[in-house]
Formats: sequence, C-alpha cells, structure tokens
Amino acid sequence: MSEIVLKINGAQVEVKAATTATLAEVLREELGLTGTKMMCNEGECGACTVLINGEPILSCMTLAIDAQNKDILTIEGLADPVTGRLHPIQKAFVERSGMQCGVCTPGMILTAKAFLDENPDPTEEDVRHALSGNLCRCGNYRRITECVLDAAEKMKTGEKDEK
Amino acid sequence: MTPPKVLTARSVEEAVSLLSEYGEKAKFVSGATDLLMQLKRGEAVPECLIRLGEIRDLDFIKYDETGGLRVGALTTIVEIANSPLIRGKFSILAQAAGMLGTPAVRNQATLGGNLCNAAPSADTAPPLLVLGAKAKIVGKEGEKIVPLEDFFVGPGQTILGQDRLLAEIQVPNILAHSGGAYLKQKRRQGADLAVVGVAAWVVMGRKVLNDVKIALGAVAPTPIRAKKAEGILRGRKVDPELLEKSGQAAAGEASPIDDIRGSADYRRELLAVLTKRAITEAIQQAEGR
Amino acid sequence: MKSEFSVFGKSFIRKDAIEKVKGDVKYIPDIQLPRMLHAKFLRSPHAHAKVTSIDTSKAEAMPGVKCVLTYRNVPKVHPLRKFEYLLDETVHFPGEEVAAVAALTPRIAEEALKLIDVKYQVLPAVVDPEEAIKPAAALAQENYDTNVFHGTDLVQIPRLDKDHWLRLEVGDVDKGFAEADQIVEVSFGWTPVQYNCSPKPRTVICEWTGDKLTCWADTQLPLFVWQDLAATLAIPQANIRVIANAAVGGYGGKMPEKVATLAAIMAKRTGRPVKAAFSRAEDLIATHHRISYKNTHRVGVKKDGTMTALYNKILAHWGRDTTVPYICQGTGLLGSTMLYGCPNIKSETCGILTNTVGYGPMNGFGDPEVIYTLERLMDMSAERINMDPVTFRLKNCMRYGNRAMEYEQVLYGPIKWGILGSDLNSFPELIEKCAERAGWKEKWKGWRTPMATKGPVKAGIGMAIGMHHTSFWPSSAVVKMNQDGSANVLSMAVEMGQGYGTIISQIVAETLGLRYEDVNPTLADTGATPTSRGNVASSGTSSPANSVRLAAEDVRKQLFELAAPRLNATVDALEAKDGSIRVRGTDRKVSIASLCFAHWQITGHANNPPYDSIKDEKTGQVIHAYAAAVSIAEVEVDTETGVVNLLRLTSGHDCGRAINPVLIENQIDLGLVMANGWVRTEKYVIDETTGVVMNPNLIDYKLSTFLDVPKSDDFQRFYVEKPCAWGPFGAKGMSETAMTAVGPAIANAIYNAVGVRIYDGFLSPDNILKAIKNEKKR
Repeated sequence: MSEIVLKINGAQVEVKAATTATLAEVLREELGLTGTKMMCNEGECGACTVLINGEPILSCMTLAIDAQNKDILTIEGLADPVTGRLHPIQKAFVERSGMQCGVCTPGMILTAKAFLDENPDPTEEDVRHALSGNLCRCGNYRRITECVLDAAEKMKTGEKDEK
Repeated sequence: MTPPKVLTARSVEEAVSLLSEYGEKAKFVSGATDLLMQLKRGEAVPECLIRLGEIRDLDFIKYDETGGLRVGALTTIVEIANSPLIRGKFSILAQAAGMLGTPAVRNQATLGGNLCNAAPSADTAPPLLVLGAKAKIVGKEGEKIVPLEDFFVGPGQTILGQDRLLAEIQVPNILAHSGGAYLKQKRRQGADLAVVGVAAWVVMGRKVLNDVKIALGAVAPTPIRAKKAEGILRGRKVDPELLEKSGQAAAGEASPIDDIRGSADYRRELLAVLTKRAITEAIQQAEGR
Repeated sequence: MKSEFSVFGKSFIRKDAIEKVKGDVKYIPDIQLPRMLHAKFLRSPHAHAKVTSIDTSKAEAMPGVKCVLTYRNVPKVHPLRKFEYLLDETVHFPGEEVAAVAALTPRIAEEALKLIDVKYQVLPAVVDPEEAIKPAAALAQENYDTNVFHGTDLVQIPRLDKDHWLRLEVGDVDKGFAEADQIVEVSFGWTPVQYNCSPKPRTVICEWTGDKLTCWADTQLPLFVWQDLAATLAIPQANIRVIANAAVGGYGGKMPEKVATLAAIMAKRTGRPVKAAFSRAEDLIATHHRISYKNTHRVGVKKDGTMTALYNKILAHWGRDTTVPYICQGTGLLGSTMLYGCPNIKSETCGILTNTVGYGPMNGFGDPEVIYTLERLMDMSAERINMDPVTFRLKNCMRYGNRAMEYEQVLYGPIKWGILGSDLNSFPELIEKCAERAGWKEKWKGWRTPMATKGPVKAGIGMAIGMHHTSFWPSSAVVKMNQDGSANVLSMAVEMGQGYGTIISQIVAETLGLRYEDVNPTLADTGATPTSRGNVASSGTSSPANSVRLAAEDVRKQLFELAAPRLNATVDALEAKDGSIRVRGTDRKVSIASLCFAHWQITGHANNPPYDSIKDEKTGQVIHAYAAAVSIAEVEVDTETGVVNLLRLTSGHDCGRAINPVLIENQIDLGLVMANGWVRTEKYVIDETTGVVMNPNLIDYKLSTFLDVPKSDDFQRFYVEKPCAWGPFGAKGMSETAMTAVGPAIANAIYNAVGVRIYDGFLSPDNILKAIKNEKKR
C-alpha cells in the first residue's frame, strides 16, 4: 500500500492505495467516485476515460501512482461545482437523448470535451474518429455524433451552461 | 501474493542501474499497459517495477539534415502521429502511429513501449524497418546503436534482455523522390491489432525503383523485412506482373500462423495483395514529392 | 395523428438523462454497502467432469476470507428449474462454478480461489452439436437419456412429438410443393453465436435484515430472480425484495441466475452484504449467449411469385441451458410460419444439449436466427423466378388478417390461431417506403449485378424483411397521486436504457392532463411495485406500459368522481387537461392538485386484461401483437481482401404509435448496430475439442465502433404508425424487431455485389474471400 495524492476535479485528495491499483479502482472503490464506469477493464472500450491534463486517458489502464501531480477531471467534475449548471456537452446529451443505458456516457462526454476543446469546428468524420475508441453497445453512435456536433455549436456561440 | 515493489527512475542512468541491481526480478514500465494486462489476467508479475515515466529526457522528437530523425523512447504515439515534422518527411511513421489502438491509447502508449513489447503485430515496427531505423540501447557498459532488424528476437522478446534500456530510435534522413505507405488489415473499421501489416518504402529513379524496402508485421515471430520481395523490384521498372511476383514472394517469406485473428492461409493471401498495394501507394507518394 | 396528444408522441427528455450525464446513477456494480464482502467463483477448466475431491480448508483459513461454498454445503436445488444444481458435484461446461468465496476484497477472494484444491475425473464431453445429435455421442448430461432435449420433471413441453421434435404445421406442404413452378432448397451453416456484452457484466448484491433479503440485481427480469430466490432459498417471496432499478443493457434474458442464490447464502452465513460481480471474461464464459440455429429451408414458388409451400427445419444448439432455449425455438418456429402468408408451411425443430455454456435469448429471441437464413432463401427464390426481391416480399409478406399466435402456445398448446391486427397494414407500406428512401429503383441493377465497380471493389445492394412478437402479458401497475398533484408510477418493469421510465411517465401525464415534469417512475422493486415480468419480448411498451395506462385511467376515474359534484357536472362531461379536471367546453374546472390535497388517498391500480380478450372487430378473431421491419443495405466488397464496408443502411420499422420518437429511433439504432456486429465482426470462438472459449475479452471479441456503422446521412431509419389493438394508445414494442432484417439484408447485398453466397458462418473478410476464390475455381 502507499499513500498517494491525486488532484481530482480541482481538489487535492489523499488516498491509500495498493501500488498496482489502477486509477479507475482508486476513483471508484477508494473515493466512491463511481461516475467513471468500468465496462471491460482491459482498455478496449473507453468507458473508464477520464481527462488527465486535458487528454483522454483510460483510467483502468493507468496506475494510480502514475496519475499523481496531474490534473484529473472525472465526469463528476464537469458540471459547474457551484451552480450545478451542466456543461454544454452534457446539455446536448440531455436534450437529444444521447444515451440509453448510460454506461458509455461519462467516457463519451469527457472524450468529446477534450476533442471539442481542441477542435471547435469539427466535421462529422472528425467526431466519429475522435470517439472511435468509445464503444456503445446500445448502438447510439448516430445520436451521440449528433449530440457532439450540437455541443460544438453551443460552445462556439458561447451558450452559457444552463441547468 | 506480495504486490510488486515500485521504484521510480528519474534518469536513464538510474533506470539502468536499478535494472542491473534487480536483474531478472525487475521490469521497466512506461505506460504500464502490458503490466496491467498481466495483473488483470492473474499472471505472474515481476517482484519489482521500475517506473520510467518521470524520465523527461526520453520524450523528444528531433531532426537535423545530417543526423536525420531521433525519437525518444518515451515519446507518446499521439505525439508521433501529430508531429508536423514526422508527417512531413517520415509520413509512413505518422501514418502507422495514427493507426495504433484508439485515440485514448495513443495518448498513453509510447514508442518504446510498442517496440519493447515486441508483439509481431506492433504497428510502429514495419514502418521503422523500411525507414532503416536504428535503436539506441543503454546498459551498464554504455550505449550501443543496433539496426532495428536485430532488435526483435522473438514474439515478445528483444535483445534488451534483463539489463538494458531502449533510449531512442534513429532514422536516417530520407532521400529525394522517396515515399512510403503502411497498410494494416483489421477485423473491423474500428481499432484492432494488425491481422497483417505491410510497410513499403521506395526511392524512385527516373524510370526504375532505385531502392525499395518492404517490412511485414503479424506474419512471423517478429516484424520482418521481405528481402526477396524487395529484390524482385529493386532497380526494375514496376509493372503489374512484377508487383504480382513481389507480392507472392512476400507471402512466401512470411511464416504466418493460424490464430484467433486469422488463418495462415488468409494472411498469405493478404500479404500478396497488401504488398502490391503498399508499393503502389509508396510510389504515388514518392512521385508526389 | 399526433395533434390529439399533448405529451404522448413527443420526444421529451429522458427521465434519467441528467443523472446519466452527471455520472450520478448508481448502477448495481457501483453500489457499496458498509461491511460488504466480495464474491468470486472458482470455475471448472473441463467441459464435463466429476469433482472427486474438493479441499477448501486453506482458502477458509486465509485472512480476509469469510465464507466458502461448494456442493457440499449448499442446498441441492435446481436454480431456475435447470438441470444443474446450485453448485454441482458434476460440472457440465468449461467455466462452470465449482466453488464460491466471499472475502473482504475482490483481490483476496481471487487469491483464495487459488488455494482451493479440486480434483476432477474428466468425463466424456461433447462440444459440437452435430456430433451430439449422433446416436453414439457421449451424453452431455450424464443423467439424461439423450442429447436431444425432451423435457424434465421440472420443465415440460407438452407439444413435443415422441421423437423429441417440436412441430408446427398449417395447410398441406406436399400439395403446396406439387403446385410450385420452382423449388429452392438450401441448408445453411450454424448462425453465429453472439455474446450479449451488456455494458455491465452480471452483478448482484444480497443483504439480509433479519429473515428478510434484499437483492440488488442487474437484471431485466426481476420477477424471475425473485421467484427463483424464493424457490431455492425456500422462503416466501414476501420476505424477498429484488431491486433492479438501475439495470443496464439487458439485450435479452440478463439475469444473475444462480449467482443470486449463492450470494444470498453467503450473505446469510456471514451476516454481511455480499456483492458478486462478474468480470468481463467471466461474463463471456459463464452467461448464456445468443442461440444458434442450423437451418434447412425448402420453398416452392410459382412463376408469378406466389409462395405455395415452405418447409423449415431448425436444429438449435442449447449447450447446457435447459430453461429458456425452447422458448426461443417456439418463437423461431412461429416466426418461420408467420413471416410469409403462405398457406402451406411446415416447421420443425429440436434442441441439442452439449457441454458448452448455454445458448438462449438475446435480442430477437429466436427470430433473427431463423430469419437470417430464411431471408437469404427468399432472395434465392426471387432470383430463381427472376423477380425483384422487393416485389417478391411485397407479394408474400405477412399482413393484417394473416394467422398469428402467441409463441408460448407453440410449446404448450393448444394451437389456436388468431390473426395479425390491422396494425400490420404497416408491412407493405414499410417495404415500399424503405425501397423509395433507399433509392432502390435506381440502384437495383438486377441479380448478382454490382451497383458499381472500382478496381477490385464492388458495391451491391440487398434487402430483407423481418418480424418479431411484442408480447402482451399479465402485468400490474399503480399510479400514486401525491398531495401536490404530482404522480409516481409504480411498475416492476425495468429501465435498462430503452426508455421505459420515460414513456410510462408520458403515458400517465397524457392520461391525467399533467405536465410531464410532474410524473416520475418508481421501477423494478418487488417490495414496492406491482408485478410484471420485466422487460423481455419487446413487451415493455405493450404489456407493463399498458397496465400503466389502465392504472392512470383508474386514477382519472377517481378524480372525475371527486370532481363531478364540485363542478356540478356528470362524470362523462369531464376531461383531464392542463393540470385540472374540467367540464368540457366550459371554463369550469378544479385543479388536480387541490383534489389530491383534499383527498390524499388517490391511488390508481390496474391489471392487464387476458391476452386473448382483444379481438378484431371485423372477424371476431383474437389479435396477436407483432411488429415488422424492412432493411436495405448497401455494401462495398473488396474482392481481393474480403473486406466489407457497410456503406448505407435504410431501415423501416413498425411501432403502432410512437410514444417518444427519439427513443424509438435510438432503439432501432441498437438493433441495427447489434445486427451488424452479429453477422460481421462479433466472432465468438470455442475450442472444438475442449469447449473452452478462446476469446473471452474485447480485444478479440470485436464490437461495432463509430467507424463500423455508416455516417448519419447514410444511416437512415424511419417508422410507420398504425395503431395496434394492444398497448397504450396503440403503441407496441418493436425493439427486437429492429434486429431481424439487417443481417440478411447485408448478406443479400454482398451476394449482389460479388455474386457469391455465404452459406456457412460469418460474414468476415476471410470467409468472404474464401467464398469468392471458391467461386472463381468453379
């Protein structure tokens, strides 16, 4: 076991974890942040995606000790922490029903956020490629693409996050 | 089960010295993805893990006209795929890097990780082989530069052994009128390991191919050069019949197996076809330069 | 049609959308209870073996281990009335549970498994169903007399013939074949097995409070889990509360099965909650998969396209599952007898036991597996008489007035044919509209004629039709009015992503004139919600949602009776609108909120009427609920590598009435994407000798990604609304139907592109290349 310090959603968190614990395990089991979902636990589905220093990273394939001294964003940290207002991407997914069972949703949204932050004006092909590592067993690919393109519009027009 | 001891190396020297101290009991980890897969499958893990992720001076992409390209072993695959320099001059390498895994995997995987894991299907290997790459290896006795062809020893095995570290890959500068292509056969349009991978690199003369290099992935115990297939084309004017012969030769040089991703027969069929196509695309790129 | 409704028929946002985008939902695997233990299972490496000794002493002594179960210390009961026992002395497939450990952490539990010493006596095993059906084959179930299932003491199928085959016949096939101008007969290889791959593997948590058990189960069938726990634990159902309120992607029969009972036993013995969560590999190895059929079809057609006779033979691979597969087969038998309105059809099937994991229900439940081959045969027949395949389907597809039956009758009898309702007038319309939207007339160049050729790449177009039941079952619901006029809907059906919670809220809001925002669902809690089966058979919209509508109408009746004297009107002059009960055509009204505040015990309750009570007005015959689908696929085939690119998919579906259009489209997409993976990329590989699964992971079991489905403009689906006599406001379930036409449409498109038919297996690049090369040789 080791004491590690992780910076999660802007806050420093101290946690005891096995040296070979994955970031996903620490988030879910030790810290109760179950918004990061586990679907395959072998790096093949993207459901466990979190943003580390703004980049999508598979938390089930990352040692928790390797995630120290980096900015980690989980789905719980995406909405405004004070007002609770949803991020435009979350809003698009809500308005257009971009999910069915919802397990892939946090990973999709975070991957989309990292992508749209760098590519504010994407084509449909761009979106499909950016999210190609996120599996949706409920088959919602068309709808999710629609939500991300809608979110891009919202973010471009500077639409304020609204609940 | 006693969990492994985790040590952190902050420099190449420290990494090498730790490795020689622990020898067989230790393993390097950069992205740690392979190690994590071992752990998750309940396979035996080393007693000691030496983390390399903090060694900043192995993460670089450098180029000069004489020395050519140098890429540090801890450079992430996404950096290679997006590097304007590599996309400009060594595009086959960027192309292959862009096909490796999924976008999130590319953020984490490293060039060193891909090569040292030494899967026969490693995507960066065939392109580097046709680019004439060399590996800089560091051990207790110092540095050594070896051709990449000598780097792979068997499936999952490199010449690094238990006491050396891969520090960087060196690629000579490209010649004028050269071009390349990497073709990867997968089981779906989304991410996959290569069922068959073919890289081709050509240098065009006025009428003939001055030089040609072909490398194959996932069809032998290691990534290999298809030298017979090269020989058929080198110095010759390329026509469909010659391409056909070269493709067949490549299929013959490989030793694919039946496994869950494909049968040996299918892989040979693909080799013949993809070799032709890779050469054709390489020539198109070379003619564009 | 939609203008008569204010809430129904609109794409309201999902009731669970906000929690899902925020990561707030606690799915069953996310739940952590104080003092919770984690269960892991030791699994047999052998397909068929007797446990000759099992020593758990070292595991029990390991620090952190709290309980170890083997066949020696659990009740000898059959979970879900299957052959197997809870933990068996004899194991019947590679991966079967041999022991269970509950420990403080999953890692400790896994380490403890390694300390359990098991010795096996390997028994003769049979893995291949075609071997299993031979007379000299080893017995998959050593205490059974054959490998062809014919019922047990616990499970009876009365309509099985003496030779263990299940048959269904209409008309006279011999006469029909004699009348045919052309007869086409084909035997196909086994349809692909598909792994359910629910986004969360099976998980269950059990906790006792005194003698009462709470079981959180990630299942779409809380009723069956509840019944089985009561039966295997020998306690009343009233002592058990199964909560499945955060189920995930069932896709067909998702249940924790005996793991629920084992977790309950461990929880009882340790006095602590126990969570049993399968890993992805375990889920792949040890839960049931899509049933697989080996089909032979024979069809007789006249020159003008009239179908005169159809014969279908279905061999079904069961593995070791013995409860549900026969229901899939009954479905397939019925489907093969109903899809076409041919007067002479004979269908027969048998179920084969082997020492493999077990095959049964998955999205489509026995229909896609027969339609996949039947629709290829139909293309072959149309080609034989040189008829356009769209024209052929239009001529022969099932429609209003054709024979129909509820699929369980095929198993139990009596055979009482009813009919399809007028909602199936949708079928010809679907076919025509789909062809129009896909540009069929311009793109169809004739049989085996590619639309385009570019070097080695050929493009082709193909189509198929499909159908599936949408079951009408007993179901019960409660609508509870709260004192502020808002409502909660209580139903045992499950929200697993399909939107059930959303549509029932819409139904109640519509019926009571409430705002959608003022209605919320309370679902899938056997201690709190009245009974439904759960969501299978695409029944959610047809069955439990119907009982919700009736319960809402009960509330409305009570509100009217309370309002009438206040408004000085009779009950039949009243309507519920905009949060009030009003006298129609006047402005006299009283708010529902004030009625609820004054009379705070307004609770509506209803049960569904019996399924044979809905009759056709014209003929008086019982109407059975089915849904139809049409798919047109365009593919590109690289004839040198066998790689197929799905360029375009146009698909038409029949939903009765669209309660929530966006959710319907999402459900259609699920079927389309899943079918694409089923026939092209999701290869499930078993070792032919040992029966061991060779790819229990997602690296080698390839699901469809964004890049494997056409882009939005080329991925078109639409639906047609013809109200069904069943279901709320005429809506009916159609989710599984969405799956049925896609697979054969893709196969038929490949045929038209490259002129090669794949009879065997999978539409993977290597199979296609092999078929192309074999064709060249001929």
